[in-house]
Amino acid sequence: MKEYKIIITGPMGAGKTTAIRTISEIEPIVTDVLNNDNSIEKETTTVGFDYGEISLSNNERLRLYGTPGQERFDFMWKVLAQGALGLIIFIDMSRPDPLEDLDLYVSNFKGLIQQTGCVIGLSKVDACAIETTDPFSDLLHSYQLICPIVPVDVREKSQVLWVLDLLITQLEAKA
Amino acid sequence: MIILFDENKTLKHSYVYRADFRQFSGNILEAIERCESDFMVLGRLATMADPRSKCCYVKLVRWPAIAFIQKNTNYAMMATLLMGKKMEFSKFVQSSGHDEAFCLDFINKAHRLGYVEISRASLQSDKIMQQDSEQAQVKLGLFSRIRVRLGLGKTKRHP
Repeated sequence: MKEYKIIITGPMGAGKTTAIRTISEIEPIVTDVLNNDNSIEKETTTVGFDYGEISLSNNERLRLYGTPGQERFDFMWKVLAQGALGLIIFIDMSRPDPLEDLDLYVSNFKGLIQQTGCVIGLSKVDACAIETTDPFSDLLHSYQLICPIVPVDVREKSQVLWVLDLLITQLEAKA
Repeated sequence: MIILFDENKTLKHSYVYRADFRQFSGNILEAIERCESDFMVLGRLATMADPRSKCCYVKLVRWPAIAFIQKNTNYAMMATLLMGKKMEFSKFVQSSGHDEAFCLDFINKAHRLGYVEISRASLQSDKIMQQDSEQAQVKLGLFSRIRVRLGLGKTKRHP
């Protein structure tokens, strides 16, 4: 069995688990526990990783891994990133400092982004309400990276698939 | 950039054009006519290369602002197509699945805003999209299978 993986990361509550649930062909395996972080209104949070999968053929499988969002689990990020095809970062635009959030994940996954590709999905925001994404582009530029930056509603399967399409297109362009 | 000097090498006029030179030809002639004395033209006309030219390549150098991306639902995907190696315009048209006029309009707008670079025949060191290596073909095959499984449509690299 050949296995490939795509990593989905981002801060707690950005929609990683929901996105995986939206497109996985199996019931996702989640490692959620009760959230004791009072800074965010969320009943549970992922402490290990979320897992979903899509079979490509009889002997090929695409694994979808959602990382735990909190920085204290960053040791998991590097483990999960090894050998990944690409990365999706969801940024919760309702949080106090989305730019700082992006900086955390880009700095931690820079190597994977350079070697493969990455899409930044801006969640929990009305697309029309986003005035500018220039600060995000500037941040990526400071890391000498270019990534698609698009608003996304992770509850909508079509939008999650569109983000995946952007990632695959990027990987094809770089191949 | 166009710089006009008189015979004493005193600066008379200077103009910077980032867009298609041809549409400004009238302004340039007007500027030349305004010069009362003889003049020399120094430097060169840095006109925008026509992306349709065989020796021109296009490449994304910065992800466009949200306002630009939201002008057309296809722009995000078109910008993503340009994220890899430098690409001939004809290849871009083929990959995008849109007609040439639409693609040219996208490239011209994106270039004017500094999102896309148009360069002429490149140095050997430049990464240019050419024949796929064996390794690239394996990867493209995998991406194609992922596309089919997820219902994302055909690959945009080799439609």
